[in-house]
Amino acid sequence: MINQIYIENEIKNHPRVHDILKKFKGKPPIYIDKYASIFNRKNQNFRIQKKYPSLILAQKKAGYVLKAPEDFGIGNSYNFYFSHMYNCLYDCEYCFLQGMYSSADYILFVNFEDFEEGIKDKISFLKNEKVTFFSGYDCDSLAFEKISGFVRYFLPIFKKFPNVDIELRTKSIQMDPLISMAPISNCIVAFSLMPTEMAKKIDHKAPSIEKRINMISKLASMGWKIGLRFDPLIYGENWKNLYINLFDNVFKNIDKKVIHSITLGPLRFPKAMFKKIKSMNPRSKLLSDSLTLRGNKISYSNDIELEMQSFCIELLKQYSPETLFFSCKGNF
Amino acid sequence: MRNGCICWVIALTSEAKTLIEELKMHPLKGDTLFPVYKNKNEDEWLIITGVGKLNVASGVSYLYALCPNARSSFWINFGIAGAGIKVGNIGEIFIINELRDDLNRTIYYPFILPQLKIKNAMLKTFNQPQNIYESSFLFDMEGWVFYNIVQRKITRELIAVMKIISDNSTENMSSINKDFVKKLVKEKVKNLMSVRDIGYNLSSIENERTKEPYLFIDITKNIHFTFSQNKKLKKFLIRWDVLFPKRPLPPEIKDLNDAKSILDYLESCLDSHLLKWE
Repeated sequence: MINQIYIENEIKNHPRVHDILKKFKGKPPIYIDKYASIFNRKNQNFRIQKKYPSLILAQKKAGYVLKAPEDFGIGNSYNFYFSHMYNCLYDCEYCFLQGMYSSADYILFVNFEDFEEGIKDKISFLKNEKVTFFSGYDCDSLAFEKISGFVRYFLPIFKKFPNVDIELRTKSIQMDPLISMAPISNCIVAFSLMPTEMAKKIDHKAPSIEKRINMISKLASMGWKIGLRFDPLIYGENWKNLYINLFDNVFKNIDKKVIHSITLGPLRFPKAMFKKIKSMNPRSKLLSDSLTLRGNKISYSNDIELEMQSFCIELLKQYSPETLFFSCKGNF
Repeated sequence: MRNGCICWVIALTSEAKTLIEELKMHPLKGDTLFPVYKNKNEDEWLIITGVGKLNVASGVSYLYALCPNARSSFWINFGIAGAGIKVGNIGEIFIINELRDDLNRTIYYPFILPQLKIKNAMLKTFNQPQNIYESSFLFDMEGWVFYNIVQRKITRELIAVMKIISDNSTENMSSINKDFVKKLVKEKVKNLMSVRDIGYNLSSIENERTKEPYLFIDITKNIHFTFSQNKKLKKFLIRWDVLFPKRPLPPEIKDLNDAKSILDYLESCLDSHLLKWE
């Protein structure tokens, strides 16, 4: 799974680094001065690296907590994200990370304590406000949990601040830390979903939709708050039936009371990012589909986008109150 | 589809000899700046640059210009190196995971090739021969410069530096001669071939990604396309190949005689296609 481990010299004695290295016995690490000497340099092939990714253990120096993009919210007035990791174990054809970085290697920032401080600063600054923190923006929140221990570290912190929400966005079914603890009322476990037939073809390396739904069902039955993220909505032959089946399958397996929010988002790429992603993956059917430039983004035509959005909203209304619906248009 | 290419950059004839035989390469005819070899399929190229930084820099540039698939080739610098204490024994082969230069502070970390059972080591490149056998790394006169030049054009995953220990604290440089070097290489030719095979696969992946789309040359041979139409055509042909892999295009456009008609036809077919998910 991991081709090589690199460690920044500055953190080579960090206890979290020692813990992680124990999980990769027999793989001598290479010590480097700064992660940028490997990660995201020019002339790197994202697709080849995706096949043979390396893990870089590094220290984040600034920008621990950042303002989330417009439209990213799920009901609260203030939205922030924090990225303890760049890149993801999964290989989804629509993922913006392919265009964001030229490297597919995983960077794991081990100085969780600095993120914690950044989060606490924001919480104390906005103490009477409704705030959501998102952790799955530059990576999957849980897919790397066995190595990173991210959720085990951060959930107890958020538990102390019940007035702010934390969203863990994921496709993973590695839920050990959640299953082993009592639900935390301000934690939303948000699963990205799409029709099975589509996921089989474009959500490479990710758990199947059936497995994700089973896990949602399990967490829901424990009382964890669930977020459903139908983002991106994917078009194609028979798409309406595929989404009818998906929604039916999801809602028949979940107690509706635990659904915190439902997000719908169109397929979208910033223009420059799309060019990069397409050049790296010219054989992708999804990226070869009929996508158009609209403003600064590449997406389906306005008509298709609206049709999909309104069709799915109408369907979802049968299962859930509209007050839980949020739209993530991703205007770049 | 197997469609890779390898570019070997080697300082000495004695280091290259075994590879030239193994890969059935023959010298390029005519007046060449450096001795250059290639195989019959032209997917194996080798240049003998001579020793030192200037020679290797010139050699890389020369081979890059000569090899038609240089951009998607896997580039290997291979040769002998001195070794510091405890790095290894005479004849041991290494793939380099860290490259330093005695005069330049930039450090390179080559891509670690997957599933390779060859030891890794750090290499430092110098202007003059060294006998710093108390050091903890390998040392040579080409590796860093080779990487420095190649990485300007070639993706990091397609560059490797390999060295065989020729001298160390137990046996210094005075033992090195042509026959000794040939013997060292011959003993490690299997390792060289294993790197070559992985490199060839990676090069195939890159070549597949960057190759000219199917039919592009045939179509533009007889019909004039402007620069922007050319770009559009390339994009459409790639999409055609992906979306209609079993639908031959030539019969569908045989009666279209100008660029606009062809582009309009392709666009309308591609845009009316619905992806099948089931």
